Amino acid sequence: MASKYKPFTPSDVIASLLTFLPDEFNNDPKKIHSTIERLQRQKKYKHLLEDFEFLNYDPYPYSPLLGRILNRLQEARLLSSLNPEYEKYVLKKESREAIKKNILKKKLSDQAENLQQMASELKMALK
Amino acid sequence: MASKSLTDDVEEFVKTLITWHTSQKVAEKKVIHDPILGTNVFEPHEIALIDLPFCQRLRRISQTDVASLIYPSTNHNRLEHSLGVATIAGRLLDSLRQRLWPNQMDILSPPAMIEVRAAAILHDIGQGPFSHLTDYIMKQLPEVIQYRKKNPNKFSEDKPHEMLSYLIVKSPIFQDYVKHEIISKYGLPEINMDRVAEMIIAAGQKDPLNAWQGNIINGPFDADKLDYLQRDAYFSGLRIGIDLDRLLHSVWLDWESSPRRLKVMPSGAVTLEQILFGKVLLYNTMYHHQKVLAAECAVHGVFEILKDHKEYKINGRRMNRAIDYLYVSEDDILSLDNKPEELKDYVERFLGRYLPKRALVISADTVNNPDTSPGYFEFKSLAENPKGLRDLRLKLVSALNNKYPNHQIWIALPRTPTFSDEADRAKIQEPGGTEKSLRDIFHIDEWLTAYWSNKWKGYVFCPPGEAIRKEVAKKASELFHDEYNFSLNPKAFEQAKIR
Repeated sequence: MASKYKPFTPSDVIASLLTFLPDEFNNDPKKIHSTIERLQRQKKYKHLLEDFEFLNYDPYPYSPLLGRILNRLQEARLLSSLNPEYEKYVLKKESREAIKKNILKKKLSDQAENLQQMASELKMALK
Repeated sequence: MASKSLTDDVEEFVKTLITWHTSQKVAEKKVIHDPILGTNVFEPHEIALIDLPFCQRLRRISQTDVASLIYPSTNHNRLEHSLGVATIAGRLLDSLRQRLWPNQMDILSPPAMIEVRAAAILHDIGQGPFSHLTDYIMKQLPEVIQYRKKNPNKFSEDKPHEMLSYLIVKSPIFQDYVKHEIISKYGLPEINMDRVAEMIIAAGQKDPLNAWQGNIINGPFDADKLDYLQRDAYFSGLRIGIDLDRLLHSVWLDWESSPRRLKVMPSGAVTLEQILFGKVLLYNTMYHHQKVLAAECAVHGVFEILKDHKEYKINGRRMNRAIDYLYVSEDDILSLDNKPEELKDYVERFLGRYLPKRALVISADTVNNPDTSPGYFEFKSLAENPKGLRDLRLKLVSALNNKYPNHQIWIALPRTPTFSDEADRAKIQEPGGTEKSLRDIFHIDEWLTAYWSNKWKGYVFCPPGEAIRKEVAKKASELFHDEYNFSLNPKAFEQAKIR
């Protein structure tokens, strides 16, 4: 199902999804990749996640694209990882608001409910 | 009439190359010398595989595309690399043998050994000219996208060459040839070429009994990485090292785990760290060197000209299907023969190293307030969206009043490397001890990502000339602001070193 707003990309989906997570959340690639892969298999989220290829890696399904998006969010300074442990991701309030205003509202407003539900599943997994 | 599928194209390609080939029986083992790995022995059936035109064409594919224009000694090719991968795969098998109990030796049966080395020899036969440079083009082609969508979660979306290598090995004509001309002629035991194909794309990693074979070819510390990191560093002259012997002394096969997988004893963990450090340093110093990126843009210009002139061809091919890239060599693309004047001029200038120059440098350091500018993130994400990036580039050409053709104006957004799958997938454990990953010991992947975040740079390139570069810089900066709502600070211009 296409959004009635501007076309969105996989990067837009992940950035928008993160805005529904707490300011700090666990940086656990196994749980992040496994949860997004599980969400992709649910019909109601498929259209948001269909571009991700989750390779059947051991020990968890791994999407190179998702890995690159998370790294790119850090390169772009929207997301950071706390030094020196690097165990938590931090999404600052001002970055969150900027993503909401410029990406979520412009491209994925009609998908906000879906994204919120996806984020709550991810939040549970990352507890 | 329905359009041809990717598998039809591959089948025709295999048939064509097999028809060209005259099979000659290899009488004995051969010794092949290598500057990095020393003197290595290849079995007669392996030489027969290497002699196939699928492998021989790899001699004419540069391992590091056009990096030799910047690192002049970087002239090694994909065949050298494939032989290196086979050698390292063989050494990994030998190391495993030393650590197995007699009752476990069956796992290293002759077919298993032959399959692993065959997968190493064949793993890159789907590479196009200039290696990853044409991967970028091939991944956008409809038949590639269609095949990937029909086979979800099997192929990495940014490595179509793996898909092509897999399809060649899976092809009935190829398998028939191997059966009659290699297995039977050399008296080999029955080998499973489907398993060879699966190793190439890292499928079967959850196969309880055979996953370890795939680990050697496409895993967190596979023979591919262990070869290319050493080879690219050696030939470029960059002092980046990997202690391969240390790894070989500490790798073992965990018989009890399901799937059975390769692990490294804690004493070998340092080599795993070297792999990740080596990867980040090679990206930083060579693969994403600004001049290497500029040279890659210049080669893309050839394909851009072909896109604009439907009548132009290379070796009689339109270069609009993935398989076209397997029929032509780098020499064909850079030859001055049989080319229309426009293409010939362009290639001639490339051969004379007339490369694009920087007009703008775009990074977290040159963007104002990146942490509140998600437009900068959207812009960087064009790296995943070749069509969107091309559309933006054409807007820039238009903003410059079409004074310069679109094959002379470039926006280069290099691909972000990732480290987490290696850090998570490489398993460290003493036999009988507790399994850990590299990131369980230290979040090395995140540390490297943090390092990388400070190194990543994107560029706008244009023809040489101070006035042109200034003009392009100004227009590009305005365009990015209008389209993506981020602004650049003076460093974006200063770092482009326009004098």
